[in-house]
Amino acid sequence: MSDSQEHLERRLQGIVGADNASACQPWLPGTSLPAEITQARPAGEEQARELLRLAAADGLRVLPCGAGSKLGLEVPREKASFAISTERLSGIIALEPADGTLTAWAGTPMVDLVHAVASAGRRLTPNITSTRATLGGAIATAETGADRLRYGPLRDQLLGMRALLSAEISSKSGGRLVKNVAGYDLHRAHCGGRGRLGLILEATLRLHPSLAIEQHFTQAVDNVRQGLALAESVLASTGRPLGVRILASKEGTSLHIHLGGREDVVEQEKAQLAISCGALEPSKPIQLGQPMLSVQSLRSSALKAAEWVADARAKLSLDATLVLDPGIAVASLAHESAPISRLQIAQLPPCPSQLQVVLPSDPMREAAPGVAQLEAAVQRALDPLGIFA
Amino acid sequence: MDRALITELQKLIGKDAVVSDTTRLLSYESDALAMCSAPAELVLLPRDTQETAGCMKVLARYGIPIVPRGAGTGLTGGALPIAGGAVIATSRMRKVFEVNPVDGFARVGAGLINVALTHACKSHNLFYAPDPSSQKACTIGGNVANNSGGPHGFKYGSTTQHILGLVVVTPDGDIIDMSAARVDPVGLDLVGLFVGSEGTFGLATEVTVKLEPCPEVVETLLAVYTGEDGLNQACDAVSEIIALGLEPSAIEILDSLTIEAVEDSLYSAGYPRDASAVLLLEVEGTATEVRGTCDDIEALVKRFGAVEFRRAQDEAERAKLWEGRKGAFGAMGRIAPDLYVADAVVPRTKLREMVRATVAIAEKYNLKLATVFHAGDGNLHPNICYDRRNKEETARVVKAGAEILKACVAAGGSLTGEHGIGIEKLDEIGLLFTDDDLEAMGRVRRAWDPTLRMNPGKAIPLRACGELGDSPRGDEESS
Repeated sequence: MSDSQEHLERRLQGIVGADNASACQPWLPGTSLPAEITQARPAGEEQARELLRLAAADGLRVLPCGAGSKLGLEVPREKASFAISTERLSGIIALEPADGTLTAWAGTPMVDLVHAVASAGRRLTPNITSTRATLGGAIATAETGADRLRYGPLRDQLLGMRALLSAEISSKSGGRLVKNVAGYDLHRAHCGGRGRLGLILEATLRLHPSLAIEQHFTQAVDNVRQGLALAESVLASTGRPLGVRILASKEGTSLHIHLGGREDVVEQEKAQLAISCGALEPSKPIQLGQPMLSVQSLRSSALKAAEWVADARAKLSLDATLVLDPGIAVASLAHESAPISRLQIAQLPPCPSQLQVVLPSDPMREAAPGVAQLEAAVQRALDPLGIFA
Repeated sequence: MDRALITELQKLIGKDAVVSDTTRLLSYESDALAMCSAPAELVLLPRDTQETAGCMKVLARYGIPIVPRGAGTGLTGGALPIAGGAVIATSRMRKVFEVNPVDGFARVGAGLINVALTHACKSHNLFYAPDPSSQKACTIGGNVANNSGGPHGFKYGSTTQHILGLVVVTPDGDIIDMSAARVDPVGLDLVGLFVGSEGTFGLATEVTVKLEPCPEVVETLLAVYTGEDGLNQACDAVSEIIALGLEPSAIEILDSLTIEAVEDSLYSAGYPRDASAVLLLEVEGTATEVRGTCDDIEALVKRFGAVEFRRAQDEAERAKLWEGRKGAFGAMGRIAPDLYVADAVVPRTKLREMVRATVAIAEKYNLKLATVFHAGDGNLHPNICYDRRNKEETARVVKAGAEILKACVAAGGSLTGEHGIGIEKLDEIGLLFTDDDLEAMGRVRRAWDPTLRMNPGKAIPLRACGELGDSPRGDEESS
């Protein structure tokens, strides 16, 4: 650690306490950046504001994060001098099952929220099972859960938000209501914005009715193409599965279907599936590691997406499971151990025009000319002091 | 308006597309916020994105404000040219460019009528979900501007959940093509930010929308409540439906005055005239799902005092029940010449008490209140029937409207669930947002429209804007 970094760390510790500012290694392995960055974990909104005040005064850039579980999957923010983690900005602010809303601090683990909501007789989506992912991190990365096929993307669940734009300014948009169109939807820009627009403090998500029963089924298939053909027939049926996934690993290829709802409805969907897919084996929920590589396409190009991901896996000799969600047209590689490295990213095969690589993400990617200008203008509007990396 | 400007615009889009004579301009001086009007100076009717961009380049050179307009069915004065300038109406941009049944989207001109979009994809067994009551007249572009809702928003959400892409013309006349249908936005979600910006960011000329598969079975249900407590019972039934996690696709309540107006009108739906409230529900899904949910709802509404429960027997009866709901605003013309359609939201657990509060406020101001609401979403439409020629009565309407909004916000609600802020609610927006919140929004508005020529005086007040100068570092980044 350099002298200046040590000095910074001591100053950050002066704000958040000695135990709550320490070096972390958030980036992908193989990067040329300094491996470490100091992460400060404020205990409350006031400390977070203090940290931003320090950043503004010294012209330092800040990288907002939750538990940092997804930072390894994006192109490093070279300008970041230190990170602010919301891990200690944690807890439920308001859980209103009858109103259908949940408001919580950004650092609350998603898995805790999922459980709290379930205990209140409602369902929270995305149903993220990673123990590290936080609410703020899920929003900033627009994380997709295994139940997206039925409930839609996270941005559709996000009803409102409050974020710190600087030490002095907090900005609220939306509200704690299932329906509301007052003011601009700034939270939509924060969703998937990777912390470039501010530090998310708290957010409100929509709740769904809980499901009477949930069941998982699996069927072995010869290959992804065959799995996809079966998946398409499931998707074309009138049922509403929570998830339809194809997994391909060394162990083989299989189709997984996740059903849920009223008992009679699930029974009927099962009967229908038996007609289109043959006998299905009941199974446990799929447990997957984090995605290390992910591409999106349109449904008509789902096979192409899977093929590209399989190609990347072969080329990089990765031991990872290919996951294809044909209903939402996303193909990924899920890893159990090490994420993909920077060097490996450089070796990825060229991506066909119908596909977009979404992970590893590149917040600094080149956008179309007018779009890039607008993005920069919106970013400057919300971060006029240029605090966020 | 400058003669040279008009000539230049005429050369660009043709004489018939440039409206500047007083008589034709009359139809653009108001929208569905009947109590307000503002004379239009110039109306442009471009046929496509290129023509719109051409016009906006010229207008930029002259520094003229631009007011986007769809069908003029907005209820908060969003399409009124209150600061003068040019109205650009999208009414000629109503092409369906593409319906893609495989990937489930359509690309259409912003001026396409909402219901025409659903007609255009019907043959693929797909439909466009947001269904404002004005859907036979309102445009997709207008829906985008206001993030419009509708009865089926309870299941499908508001417009923003159905917009995949946009082509936006900036105030300077540049075309920003963000129309590609995508699973998730790549980069900042500028499209999501644009939806609901009430024409203050730019003018959307093309819209890419998500299409939904038509449900296998649809049932429309009517529960009838009578007596003084009927409206309360209907509200309680709704709370219970939600508490039990039953999932109808729409939950609407109409009160007695609304029922009377509807039944006297050509929208007559067969609602019982002696009802003090009706609960109109729709259930969609597979046959099993619908049967189960309908049975549960029938038992529940009866438990909550419904004196009659009907299931529409066929498509014609179904359509008729909805015709009454969707024609309700029009039908209220029978009660008084004008209608003030309020739009407020409360947490849905506060429905019953807020409905009571709105009735009390209307009584206090001696006004006729006809309430229709999207009960499942807590979205109230307490409608006040009045005569705008009566200045004194109009003043009372304005006061009552503001008081209703204040009461809803005090109960944890919002100023608008689907109609937007427009000019109508600018004074109240401070009830919801602090100066800091509004300043951040104002700065985003300037990011899209630095000279503030897009729909001036709407959506958010700008008084708190632009105090905070960009830091030198910020400027560096921009150069």
